[in-house]
Amino acid sequence: MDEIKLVKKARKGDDAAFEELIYLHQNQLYRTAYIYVQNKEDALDVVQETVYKAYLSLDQLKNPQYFKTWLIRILIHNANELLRTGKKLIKIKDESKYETSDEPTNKTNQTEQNIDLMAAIQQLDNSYQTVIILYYYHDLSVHQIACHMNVPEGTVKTYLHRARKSLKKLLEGSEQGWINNSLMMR
Amino acid sequence: MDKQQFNDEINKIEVPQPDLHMAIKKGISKAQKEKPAIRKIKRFSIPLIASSLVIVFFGSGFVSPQMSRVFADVPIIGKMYSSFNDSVGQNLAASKLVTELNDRAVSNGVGVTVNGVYYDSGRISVTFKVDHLSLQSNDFLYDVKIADGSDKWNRGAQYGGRVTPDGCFGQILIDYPDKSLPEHVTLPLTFTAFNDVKGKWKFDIPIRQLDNKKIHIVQSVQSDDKELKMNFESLTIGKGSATLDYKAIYSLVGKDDMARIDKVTDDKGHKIDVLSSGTEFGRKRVGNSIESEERSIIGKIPENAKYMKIYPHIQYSESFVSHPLEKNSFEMKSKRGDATLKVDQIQQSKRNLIVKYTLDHVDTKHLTFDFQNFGEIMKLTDSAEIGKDRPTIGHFVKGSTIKVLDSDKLQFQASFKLDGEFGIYNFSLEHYSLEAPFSMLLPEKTLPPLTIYLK
Repeated sequence: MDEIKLVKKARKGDDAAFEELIYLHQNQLYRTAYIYVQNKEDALDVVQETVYKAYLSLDQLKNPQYFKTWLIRILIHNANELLRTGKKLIKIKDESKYETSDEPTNKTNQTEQNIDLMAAIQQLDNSYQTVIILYYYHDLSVHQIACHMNVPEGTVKTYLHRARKSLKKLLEGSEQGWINNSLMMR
Repeated sequence: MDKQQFNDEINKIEVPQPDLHMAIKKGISKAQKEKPAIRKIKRFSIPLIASSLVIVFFGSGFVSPQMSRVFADVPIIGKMYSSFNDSVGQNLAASKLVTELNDRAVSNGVGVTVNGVYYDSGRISVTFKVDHLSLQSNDFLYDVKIADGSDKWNRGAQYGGRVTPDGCFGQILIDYPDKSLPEHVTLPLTFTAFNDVKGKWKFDIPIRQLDNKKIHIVQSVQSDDKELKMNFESLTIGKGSATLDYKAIYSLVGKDDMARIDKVTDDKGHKIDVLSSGTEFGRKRVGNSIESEERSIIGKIPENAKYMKIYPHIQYSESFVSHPLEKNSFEMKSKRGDATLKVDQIQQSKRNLIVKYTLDHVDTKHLTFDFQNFGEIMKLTDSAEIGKDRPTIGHFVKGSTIKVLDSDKLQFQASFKLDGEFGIYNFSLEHYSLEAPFSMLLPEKTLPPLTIYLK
């Protein structure tokens, strides 16, 4: 069943349809939360809170075709809320399981030579993080991001430009050459 | 930056599926406990709440208390529209074309004041302020019945509620649900809850459509494959927006396709906002096709524009394609596109089913989404329950964990969790099928642009 039909069903109170909608986007939700909070427990909390709030405010979704964007917006708000309220301290440390090394790494002994994209995104200002994630991972247009963040399109472009510049600087000399090679292309 | 490579990096974050399912379940059940009454499909309870309705009207010589005048200065209204990013409302407010009301209702200590209305090109906007509401966040929730509460009104409605330094602002935008637009509408609105406060705030709002000009169009566009034809019928130009009415004719196989308008530009190439595309008034089968009366609403067309260009597109769709698992390797194919999924190997253990597969004939140039996501949405379903909207619990597994084996060759490994709360009671390869969402791999196709002369 297509997503718009599911949203319409969910808005009428069909809980199974709502659940199906969430499962459609569950991995992107989790991964986006993880980028912000950098650990499994908090990322799961952020997803849980997002599902809870989305269920309660589904009536306010303006247009069914923007369900995913609306959901991500709630998620980012929750992730920021969690970080803001100081429930957790961000460790500039990549704890995800894709590290090849078992040795713990942290900011002080991690040289810029092997810093990776995740850690680099972590070091960006909050607004820059959000535009980068929405633009590259959620594939939103500048216009959609502007509506989402409630800022003018020009501001989004500025954020994107600065965020790319910061990432480039952070990743200079890293093995992730594809970022350096194509970062300033668009 | 290359989006695909960026996605590959992000997708290295491992997803703890069982924990994630649990978190989602908890989120839903926590919300269900809080909002059972509001989300019920049928509402039997009629709250017996004494509500006092106070209507204060600013007349200036008008006889009817229902009438209200357009205010010369509407700063608060302008602020409200800007807080909801409503460019049409902002333009109309600047041109003093918004009708300001001051209809107030109070129930259970919460006051609601409907303060602004416009009705332009098939779209109605009602703005209101809420006072004495205890707040928990930057947004507030409300439940409202529009007109008779029937689905046709809710379908095209958008609801906003925002807490600002100037107060709690709400806006309801309603795409008029019928194809013919009456000049006058009396819109009954009954609010029944604001956050946790239940009550009854009832309004009958008289609304008059702003002047408009209707241009009849006799133009059609058709997709190359003849799967979709759009017959454009009329353009209604209002004060701050315009309505485009057309008939979309879909093929039988494309009964769930969506004709949409992507972009509209004026004669100078400047974009005109597409406010809503694809409001449908009902699809019906006529002979060997599906006909659908549809409408799109666009923003303000510049006064001096000689013509405008419309860029339609079609989003194809198809239902899940299924194939029995009885063989160790097989091929599945999209019914409407070229994409294929070749299952290279199936390994079963007690707890998991591992399916190695390759995607082929996929338009990697134009599809920007994450191909892993395709696999994550695949399902294992009891072959006897294929085609059911909701298969029986314990007879399907929705979603898998994907490992990328070779991103250039589009080779993946899907792992379906057979045990646990979301598993299958009695799995066997003979009785189960793999279901794949080829809809995701169908490209969006653009139709030739269309020029509509305005002079």
